[in-house]
Amino acid sequence: MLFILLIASLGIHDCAYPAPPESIETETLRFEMSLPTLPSKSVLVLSNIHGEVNVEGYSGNTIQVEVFKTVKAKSKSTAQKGLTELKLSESIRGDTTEIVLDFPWERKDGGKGRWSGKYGYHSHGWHWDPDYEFQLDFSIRIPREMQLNVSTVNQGSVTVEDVRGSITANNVNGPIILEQIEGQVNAKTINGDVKISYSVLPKWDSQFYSQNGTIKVESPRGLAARMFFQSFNGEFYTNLDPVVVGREEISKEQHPMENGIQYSISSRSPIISRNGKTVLEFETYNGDVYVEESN
Amino acid sequence: MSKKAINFTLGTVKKMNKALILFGIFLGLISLEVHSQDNALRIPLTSPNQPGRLKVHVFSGIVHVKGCSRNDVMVRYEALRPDKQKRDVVDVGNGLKKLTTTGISLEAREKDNVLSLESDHRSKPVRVMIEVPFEFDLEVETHHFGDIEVINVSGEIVLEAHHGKIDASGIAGSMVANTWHGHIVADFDKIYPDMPLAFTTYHGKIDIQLPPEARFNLKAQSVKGDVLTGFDIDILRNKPQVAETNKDGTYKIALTDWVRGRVNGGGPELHAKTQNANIYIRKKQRF
Repeated sequence: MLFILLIASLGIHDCAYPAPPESIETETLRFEMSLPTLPSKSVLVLSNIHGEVNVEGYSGNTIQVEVFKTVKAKSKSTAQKGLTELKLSESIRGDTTEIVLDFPWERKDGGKGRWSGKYGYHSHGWHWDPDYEFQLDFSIRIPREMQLNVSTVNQGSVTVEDVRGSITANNVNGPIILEQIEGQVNAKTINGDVKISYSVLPKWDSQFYSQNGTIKVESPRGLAARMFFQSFNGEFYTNLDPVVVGREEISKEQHPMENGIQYSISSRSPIISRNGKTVLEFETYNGDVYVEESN
Repeated sequence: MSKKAINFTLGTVKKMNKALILFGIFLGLISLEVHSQDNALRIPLTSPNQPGRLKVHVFSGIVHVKGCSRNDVMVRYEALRPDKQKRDVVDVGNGLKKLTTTGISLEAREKDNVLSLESDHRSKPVRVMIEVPFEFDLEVETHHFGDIEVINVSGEIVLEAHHGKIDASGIAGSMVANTWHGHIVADFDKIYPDMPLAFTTYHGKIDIQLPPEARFNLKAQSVKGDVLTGFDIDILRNKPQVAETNKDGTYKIALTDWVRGRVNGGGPELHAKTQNANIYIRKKQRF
């Protein structure tokens, strides 16, 4: 009883402080980009920071982007300034179309250039310290055959649906969900699950990594693969049948270093289903891995 | 088969005629070749025939070190499987099977006769068998599984096995051995006047054999067991030591009761401590 009273009083105590004045401004942007070459040879790159990235394949020929911006600041004017500062632009290099976060980044050495999210702004001398909080949620439609390289860091998942091309998806504090996909996958997150569901039997070598989450891969019946699993605390589960653990494969390397010669030895045993050749590599630190085929 | 081949070439080479020697070398080469492809790594030393040091840090696994007449270091390794996981595939219900794979990851580095060997902490349990020259210093540390075995090595030896036991034999030199969940059994051919010996465990016995002429000062304590020795020992006056601490007006008095004594006139300190088992300091039998 005393405990409940204590909590109640704490609650009242908290409420006694007025929340800091806060203004939230939102804006939705829509734009369309055409492809530099055939859809199956084109790549879309987007490196978001705060917010979701949702990509969906469709049968059209252009990239259709919808961005929902949210800016939170102490005053309305600052929040509005944020909306105008958070500009996006398009960059085309060869077969690659990138949606660039064209924010007022500054280079610490005063030099010029444009920061591209792929390279990490803290470690490469880029700097920006806005006086507002922001989130950009992307919903993108792309031609189904396109290839993707998408990522975010905070406050959102990376989801891809109905895409046939190869997919590179990264996240840090959220999950990666790839559904109805066919191509090669390289999915990596730190604090989130990785969930993959193939619409056809996977035939491309792929890698899946989650440091603290679960990895789940679903395939139609008949998955034939050579799988490798590495984890500190996790386990590997599957409903594939037949499945066996194959003979250990050992690799040895030797390289001269500044401080002597370094030798690396590693071995791993494959999990083989139906004598498959497609290599699927799974790595977690704490989470389990599930590989399941539908019945 | 291959191990035999090596022993064969090393042990009986002198007695063989030329053809047999060649045959022996041929066998040896074959076995080394097989190992180098398979589960062994030969690491040459920067200055062969000079003193060296081996540092091993295996997070999960068992380490054996053996002194041999060689001037390089041979590392053999195999994945270990915990007893409970006897099968690779286990049905866990709901149509799911749990699969257990093995996989090890080791990294070795040699510079100026200092060879370090480490296992990745994500590596599955591994057994490492290392052959070193007879005169070699050792620092070996394990954590899970953790057994350490050292045979026929002369030098400064430091062993740390948290969850395992420590067995050493044919040792000449100094040793510092620590574990928590296992015994320490060590058999010395020789100890030196300036090299101390220290053995500490919690849940296991300490059983040390020393040459009859060994000179040392014994300092031993078993909290729940006895200290037994075959040496004639001059017991130093065994008065419990009282440690008093005064903190904020609270007195804490601790009684520590060590067995102390001089053997063969005294020498370097032999320190042995365990909690739950006996301590044996044996005089080595000569046959």
